[in-house]
Amino acid sequence: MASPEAASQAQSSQEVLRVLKQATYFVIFAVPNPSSLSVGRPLLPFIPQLIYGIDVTEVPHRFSSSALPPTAEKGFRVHKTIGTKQIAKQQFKLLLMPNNFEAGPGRTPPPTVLLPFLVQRFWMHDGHFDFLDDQDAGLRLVAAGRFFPAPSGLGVYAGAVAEVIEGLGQLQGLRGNVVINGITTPPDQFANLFTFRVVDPEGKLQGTPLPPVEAEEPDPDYTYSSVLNLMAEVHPDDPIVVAPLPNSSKQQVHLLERLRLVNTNLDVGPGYLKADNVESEVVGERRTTFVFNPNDSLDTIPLYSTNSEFTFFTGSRQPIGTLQVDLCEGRAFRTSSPDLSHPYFRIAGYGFYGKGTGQFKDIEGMLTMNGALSLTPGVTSSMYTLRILDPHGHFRALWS
Amino acid sequence: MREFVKSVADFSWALSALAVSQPAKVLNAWPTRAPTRAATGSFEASTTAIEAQLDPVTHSLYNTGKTVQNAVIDLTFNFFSPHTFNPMTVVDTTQNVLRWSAGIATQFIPGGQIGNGGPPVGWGPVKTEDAEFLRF
Repeated sequence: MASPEAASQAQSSQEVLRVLKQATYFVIFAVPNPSSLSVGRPLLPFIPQLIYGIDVTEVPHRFSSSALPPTAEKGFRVHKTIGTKQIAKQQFKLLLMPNNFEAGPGRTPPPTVLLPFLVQRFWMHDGHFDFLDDQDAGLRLVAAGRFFPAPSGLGVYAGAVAEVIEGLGQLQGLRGNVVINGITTPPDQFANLFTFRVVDPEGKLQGTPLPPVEAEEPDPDYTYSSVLNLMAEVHPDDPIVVAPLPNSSKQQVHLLERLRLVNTNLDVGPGYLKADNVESEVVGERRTTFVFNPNDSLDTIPLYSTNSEFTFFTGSRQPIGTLQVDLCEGRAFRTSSPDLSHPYFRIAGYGFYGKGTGQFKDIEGMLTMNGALSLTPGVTSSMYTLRILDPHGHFRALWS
Repeated sequence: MREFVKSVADFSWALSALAVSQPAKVLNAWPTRAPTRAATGSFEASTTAIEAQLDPVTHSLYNTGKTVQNAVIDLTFNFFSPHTFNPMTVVDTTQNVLRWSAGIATQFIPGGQIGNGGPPVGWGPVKTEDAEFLRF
């Protein structure tokens, strides 16, 4: 740990990057609990379809994702396994809210009826995520997100950003965020992918190679999705540029990130809660502009991105495809570290795919991002999760 | 033509006979736990046979009507359930409807500052209007 004297000096990008990378990511898949389904709150008790809230109960499962290095012929080939093992208990209360509602802890929005053909915001409170480690590890969460119409038959997309407001057990005192990349037919059918990022300076949540995940059959993911996880850092040859946004207190943060494949795995059992995320080769870049007000007096700051595009390539720089996708909703959480002379921002968000080329042409699904951004000096360390609806297996690899 | 008229008349008469026969089935089965099961089965079998005679366009029209009809029946049965008239349910429903109405009404107040939850605490809407002139 750096001394206060050292921290007060100007810090190098490498030094700040080392601190931002002191985080552990959990990627988890949650499905309904058949013995205790989520329950809708109807506005009128005799019209159960007219719901304004949901008491959500989920069963988080062990989950692993992996990817082969892309080739020019086949592009990316990915594999995900949803395990038979339940690793946590999860409950939260979800309330729809008007689009202009300033949500927050302790605030109850007016009842807002769910209309699955519209984009609608929601607020989640009393979030309980309790890991089954026999040592009461758990997280208490609040979140804000949106429902979006999904392709016919799949209900609605649910994208959300959650903030850890309390950690319990071995997660006590740790800060972090969760992004939700979900598909649901409210109130009780869903297939939700969660990416947790927990600030973990001592790496106590990181494990050595974990046993393979025993797959549940049939696959509980009824959306036939493929998952591609990427770790991002600022490109060493292209520093972050921060510029004021005209006629606004917001700033534009222009950056080019370098992307590496990452295989994820996680296991929870008596006395342990470990993630094993293995980064490999560079497979692309992402150019983006974050827009937010880093000088906002609040510690939670609305954020979005614009002009964002992934460019994917093979190890020999042969093109695989491009994908335009912005974070339509994100939050920046101002965070201090004893190892850093300036605060940094934990950043989390989600967005929908725009125009794509190559293997990413006409794909459907949602992107989530969970990471950290320092502006002094300009450094990022993030995980992007691309969930791709893939009924025809354009991204799926046949290996076990 | 004679055979056609006969078949129409037979169909009409069979429907009437079916309707008359089913209350008897219900009465006969009254001591059992599901007195309407046999009659329900008879109606469903007859309906399925008729459905099989529908062309695609009429079938689509029939399905739409069936969906609406079932929704109205569900609504009626749900409304007359004891839960609806539980005093706590009545109070909760009244509060919800009042708050819902107020919420809708505030959406029409220019400025969007009334009934929006209060001053920002960071979890409000993400305003991307200024993104427009940033586009490539």
